[in-house]
Amino acid sequence: MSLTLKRILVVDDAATVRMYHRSILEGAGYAVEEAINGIEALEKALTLPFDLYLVDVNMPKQDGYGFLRELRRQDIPQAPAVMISTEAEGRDRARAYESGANFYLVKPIKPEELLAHCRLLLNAPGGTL
Amino acid sequence: MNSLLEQFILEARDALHGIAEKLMALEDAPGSAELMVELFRLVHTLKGNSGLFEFPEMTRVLHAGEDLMDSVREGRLAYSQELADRLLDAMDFVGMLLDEIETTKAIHPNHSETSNRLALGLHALTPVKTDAATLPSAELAAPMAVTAPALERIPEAARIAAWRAAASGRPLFWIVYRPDEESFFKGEDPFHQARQIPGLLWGSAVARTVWPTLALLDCYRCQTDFQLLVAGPRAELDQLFRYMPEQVSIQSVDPLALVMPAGHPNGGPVYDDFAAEAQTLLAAGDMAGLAVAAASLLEISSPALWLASDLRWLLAILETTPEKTAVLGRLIAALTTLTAPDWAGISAEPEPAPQTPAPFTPASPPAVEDGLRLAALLAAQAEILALPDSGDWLPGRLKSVAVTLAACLRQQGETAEEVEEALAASLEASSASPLRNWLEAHREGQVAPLLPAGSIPAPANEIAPVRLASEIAASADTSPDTGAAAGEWQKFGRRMEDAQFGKVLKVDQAKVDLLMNLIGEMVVAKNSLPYLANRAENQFGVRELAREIKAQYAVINRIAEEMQDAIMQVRMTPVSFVLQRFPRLVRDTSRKLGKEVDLILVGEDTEADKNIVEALADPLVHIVRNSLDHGLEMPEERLAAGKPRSGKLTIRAMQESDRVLIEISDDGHGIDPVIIKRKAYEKGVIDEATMERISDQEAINLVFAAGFSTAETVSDLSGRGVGMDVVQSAIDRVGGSVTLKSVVGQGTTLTLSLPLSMAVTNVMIIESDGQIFGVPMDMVVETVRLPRADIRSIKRQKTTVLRGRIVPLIALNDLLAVAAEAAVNADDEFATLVVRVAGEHVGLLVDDFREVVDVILKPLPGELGRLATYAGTALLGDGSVLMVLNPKGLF
Repeated sequence: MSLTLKRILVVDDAATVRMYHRSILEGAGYAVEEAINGIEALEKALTLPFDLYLVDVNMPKQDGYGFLRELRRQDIPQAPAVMISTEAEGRDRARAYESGANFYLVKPIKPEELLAHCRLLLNAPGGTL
Repeated sequence: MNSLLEQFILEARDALHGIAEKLMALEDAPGSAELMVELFRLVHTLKGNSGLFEFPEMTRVLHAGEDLMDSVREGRLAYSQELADRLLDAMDFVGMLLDEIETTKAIHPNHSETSNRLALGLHALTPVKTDAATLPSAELAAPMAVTAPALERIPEAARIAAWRAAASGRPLFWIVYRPDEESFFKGEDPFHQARQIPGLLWGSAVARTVWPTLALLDCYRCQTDFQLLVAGPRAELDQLFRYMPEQVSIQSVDPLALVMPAGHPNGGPVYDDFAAEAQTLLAAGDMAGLAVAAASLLEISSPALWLASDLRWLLAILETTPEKTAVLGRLIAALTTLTAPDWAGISAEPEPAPQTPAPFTPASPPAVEDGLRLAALLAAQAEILALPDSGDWLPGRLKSVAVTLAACLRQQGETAEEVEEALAASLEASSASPLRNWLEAHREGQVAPLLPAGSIPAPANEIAPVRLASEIAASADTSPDTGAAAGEWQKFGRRMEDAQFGKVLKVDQAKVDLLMNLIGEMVVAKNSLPYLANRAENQFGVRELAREIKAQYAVINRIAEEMQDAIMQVRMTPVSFVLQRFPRLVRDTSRKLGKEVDLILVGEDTEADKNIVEALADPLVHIVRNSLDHGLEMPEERLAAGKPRSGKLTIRAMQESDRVLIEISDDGHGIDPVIIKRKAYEKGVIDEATMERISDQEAINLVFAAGFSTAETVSDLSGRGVGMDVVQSAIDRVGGSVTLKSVVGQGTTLTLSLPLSMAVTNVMIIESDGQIFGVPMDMVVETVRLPRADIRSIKRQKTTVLRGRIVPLIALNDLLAVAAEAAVNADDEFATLVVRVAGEHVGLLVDDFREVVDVILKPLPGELGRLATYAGTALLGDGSVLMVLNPKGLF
């Protein structure tokens, strides 16, 4: 894996969704990793922090909010996190933001929409502070 | 098929199964919040996934289901039987769509109507959300001015009705519905859709353009717009049009805009007098007097006059909203001028702002869209920074905001140094304020230039970010570049092969069958090695080689057997595969019959060969229906018999050595042998002598006789003229057996015994007149050596007594029409093979017993297949063919 690729972590319990995101993002030249729940996601983030997190709200074991809080507690380079939610969950955006999300997108997400946001959020070289 | 779609179908099936399971579980525990949440999660995931594909029929139903479950989950709606029924119906529909997608890769447009009906049914149960801010309405409001001429076309009566509706608190909307030109091909019915609108007051269909001449008219394209005046909650409208927001414009209407007196302008001084008097009455607050005066003037005026129209409005408003004195005043004043009243300054609700109608603009160019996205991103960061500084993860949150802001800045060609400074200050103070202040100071100047004038909502508006995000989504949704999207889709399909798949490998069954056949032949072929070793030793005298061959044989034997096991494992399927349908079936059936039944499933994870499990499905359905229909009693009958109200139906699966047993038992009224005997006699199944003779158990077994059906009446469930004989023959076909036990008043138990696998049959080899035959081991009860002295003749039938039981004896040679007598051994004993045929034990006299072997049983081909005497043939290790007998066909 080339180190110059931007790394995106897709956190979702549904394999279909992960495949969908992976297919779009890899096609655009991002390095994509997947996690099926918040716990696995945190492990991966601690091993090597990502440049962007795409997080599903509703997951077994630990939901998206829980994962983001844990992520933001860590003393690692922080990166933008986009919550992938539904209209119903979109109402809870305050909760998402409070937990540490930076934006949210409402399902179903069109490829061009997803890519546009990744482009905007990952444009900068070394986009972590 | 596209692998993403395959994955979706696989997951969707699981989800549907899970949903049905959860619903069943909820029946038992209607209050379980945990199940409710889980159920919502499943419906929600399924809906989300279906949205990745173009299956509007499916998404629509699932969306409705999700909304419904959301209400239940949040406690706005109580879980009910009806709710479960409708959800199950909807999920059945989705299941059917999945099948269709799998076979034809598309959904037939015919289903659109069913989909609508189911979705509406679900919506009807969903309480209307009161939280106006969260409604999707905001995004639908493509601005379109309601022009006065449009409203003028509405007849006065309809306008007055609308006013009344508005006065009773129902908001008015002007809907312009412009159906897609292709809508007829999408299975939509625009006219029906328009008629469906709740609270429809008035509507008209308008040609979109001037109609072309008949010869040029393409009647398969929808060229009609609908203009509709509607009173009703906005939410219901959005609900109805939620799958076609781009085709509809919904505009709020100020009721005053409807107050337009119209008619023939004929007037005179008498009206001036009336006007003066009316103003006095109005000023005095004498509404009753005003109404009487207006009514009497109206009575003597021609209804076609402008004046009469004005008076009718006056009366309508007096009746509905007499407090609106200003409105009344201007209506009265208009009587003298005979011109439409000027409502400026009166309206409590703002007039619909006159905007240029641009509802069907194409998607904005990317630069503009990116600008909107950036604005939305920045707005979101502002919103985050405005949150209270809480939680020990605040520093992480602030850092992530700073990273996001920096990315946005760089996007605009700026450096991020200021952000870093602000972040440092924020982290120091453990407060979002420094970052927030910086952002506020920075924001306006940076964002605005990117955006087209007028298209950005005021940042002060709290809802602004939401609207932006959803508008972008909407515009992306409606972008007409389906061609490009399809191209991209293909690209994903190709890339998908690189992606990782789940742990499930889907294999064509034919491939596994081929493997199974090959290993079967391998097992047989390896059996030739011991023969080879014997030949090497005896014929060629090389003992050393013979020993080595035997050693190698042991190794090959072990590997081959393990391999056979492994391949069999691939074909093993848990019986839950067929049992999972029963909770639903029992529930639906018992409800239809008015009975109460608890279904208990035990041992669902018992495994058997796929063919066996599949063969179980139909007989089981039949048996269960029989139990429900004939076995279990109505609740009152049960109570009267001292039993609990609900009947108990148990399906128990278990493995017993190399058989799978399925036991279906109920605690119903059982089978009465007396009734069975009488019925069988009446139907000519048995004669009178038999009726007298047979035991109760034998009588009960008569239900398996062909053409026997005990049901008094033929219900629409079981008893369609198909009796238990069908069950018996279906089970026979896979080498199984059925036993039935019943106690009157206590219930019935049916036990199906099936082989674990049909691939390998365990047969005993016997000898008769110098030939060898096989007998399936599952029919063999025991083998005994019978001394000649123990054989008696009863009515010229040879019999013997074995373990206190009289067993008839038959020489196999006789049955096979071989002339030779059955041979005896040196002690004058007959080799007797006791087999079980139709529940009875029969002794077969054979010449000798040989070993028991595993063989691959192949049915006799072609015409020979009709020889009932033989179950089939098998190849033995030495290459010879073994004929395997079918004892049932012998007699």
